[in-house]
Amino acid sequence: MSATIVETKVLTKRWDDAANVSLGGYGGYTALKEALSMAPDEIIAIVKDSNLRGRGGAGFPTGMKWSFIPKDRRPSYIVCNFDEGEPGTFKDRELVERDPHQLLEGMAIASVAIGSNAMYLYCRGEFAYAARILERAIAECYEAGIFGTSSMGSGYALDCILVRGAGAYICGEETALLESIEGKRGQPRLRPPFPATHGLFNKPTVVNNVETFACVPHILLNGADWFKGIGTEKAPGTKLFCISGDVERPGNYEVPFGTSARDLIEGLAGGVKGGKALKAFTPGGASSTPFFGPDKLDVGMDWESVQAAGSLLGTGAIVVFDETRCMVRAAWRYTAFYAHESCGKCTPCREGTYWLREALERFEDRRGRKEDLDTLLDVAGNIIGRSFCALGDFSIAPVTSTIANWRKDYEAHIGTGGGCPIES
Amino acid sequence: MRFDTSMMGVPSVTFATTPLSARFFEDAAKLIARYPDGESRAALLPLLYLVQSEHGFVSSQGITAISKLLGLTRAEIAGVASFYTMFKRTPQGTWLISVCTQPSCAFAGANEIITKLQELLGISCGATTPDQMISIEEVECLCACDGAPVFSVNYETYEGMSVDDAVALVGGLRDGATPPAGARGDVPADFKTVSRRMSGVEAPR
Repeated sequence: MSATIVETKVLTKRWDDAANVSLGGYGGYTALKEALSMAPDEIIAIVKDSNLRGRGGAGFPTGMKWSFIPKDRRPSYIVCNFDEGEPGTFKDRELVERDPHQLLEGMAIASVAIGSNAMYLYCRGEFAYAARILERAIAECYEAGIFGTSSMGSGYALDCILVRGAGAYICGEETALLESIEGKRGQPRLRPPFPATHGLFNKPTVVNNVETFACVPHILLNGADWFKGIGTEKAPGTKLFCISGDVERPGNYEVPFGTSARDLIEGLAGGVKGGKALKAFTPGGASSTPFFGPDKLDVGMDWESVQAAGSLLGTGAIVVFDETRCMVRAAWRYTAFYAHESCGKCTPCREGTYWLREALERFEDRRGRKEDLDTLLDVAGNIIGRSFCALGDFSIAPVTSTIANWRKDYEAHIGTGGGCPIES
Repeated sequence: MRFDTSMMGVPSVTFATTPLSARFFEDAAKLIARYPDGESRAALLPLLYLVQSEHGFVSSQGITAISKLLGLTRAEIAGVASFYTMFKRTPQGTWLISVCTQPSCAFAGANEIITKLQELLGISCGATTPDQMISIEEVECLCACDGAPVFSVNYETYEGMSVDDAVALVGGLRDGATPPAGARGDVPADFKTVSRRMSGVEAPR
């Protein structure tokens, strides 16, 4: 237990100052001003050198993504993925609600770097408050001449269009998101071609997550070396972790990559609620990453370490389950989520998540059969690697990891009815 | 009864709707102009919100109007509308209550809130009270898990309320009360007003 751990506030350092939400409180877009005076390749070189990696889940190097944009094809687009919806995640919403200009400045710098004049900001439909904050912030930027035909008097045109989703988790997948902006069903596209060459409206496009864009102004102002001084060698910078569930102090905590799960859960979040013991936690995105047990509390929270320990860092959502929680119920809830959010495009995911949910519902009612465990694993094995996009592949994690680590919970649900024997 | 195939899942019910207003067509033109030439289809989601602002759901009449505006078939529009959960196939109440039941919220009593709301209103999730005051639905994570349990009233979130307080709030709405301010300090407007806002037409971009 390390109660002394403190946050490293970079992206969240202005959160406590409510004035910061307005342009006047935020300040002068000094990083953008600098970017406008630089050669685009210079900006990309700094971001590359910083080794900033995408915060949306995959951890792809941001500077490299930007450098893929062909220089001879225009228009090109910057798209921000603010379709946060992974159960247990609430970092992008707070980043936008408490510091909208940090995001807009990051997007604007990215636009200059790739030679784009139009930014599309895709905001999850349900985030009504965040959308209002963004509407106001964007309007302020137009009034102040930061956006418009000549950004900060540089002659560089910058437009920002706010697009709202309408309730579909799959639109967090970048090609589904592009389909959605284009007014279609949010179903993923076949890749290649990748968005870098054929993205929004079939034009070269960069799609980044909110947290990724939010890092950019800081990197430009403080330099790549400063950024690399935080976190681990392969995962520089800070990461926001969203901690919720059975903990004393749920919330967003910003720490350097590589901070242990123990420091986050027992230190910053105050430990398991009511002094109970920890049963399980999700390391990075409640529904899509294999669950860890208490033996994994000392794993460092960065892409490489979490993967080496058998899970994924995902979006950084840590949901804590105390000793009284039923892992069958957890698996059932997350699977029901996937069965609902499967876009229906490919059969393994559409049918597979449906049958997983059906079988888990039987367990949930204590009507499981011994052979159902094999059925669950068999169905899961026919989803992973056979789905069109990552949603299907990730959907099996709650099922397979709970069967592997908490098989006893399942065995307690074998019977002829009577409901969950673990949680009432 | 006329067989209406405007949206799969509601095949045999036609809801009476008033003619779309002149303002609808002015707003629609504004929204379409926002996107690049030749990409007017990008205005489809905003236009569906705009239809909801007039009728409280995606009406058959609205689908026909959009099909003329964007040069799409009715089937293409219904195909998109039925994909997204925020586009409603039946007229919604003045207040749409959305309750998250993912684990962090479930730990904090979300299922009890759902059960008690269904009892209080005499309807199940996905339905609307006969007086068109309240619609309730169970939703996926609303991404405010540190404030569990979380529910929203016309997409304005309420966090950390006890089961009894949450049920009392909805009971008040049913009886005609104005909602209290949500977790971010704002008071939600009625469903149609919020839908217009969500079309984006009130914003400069």
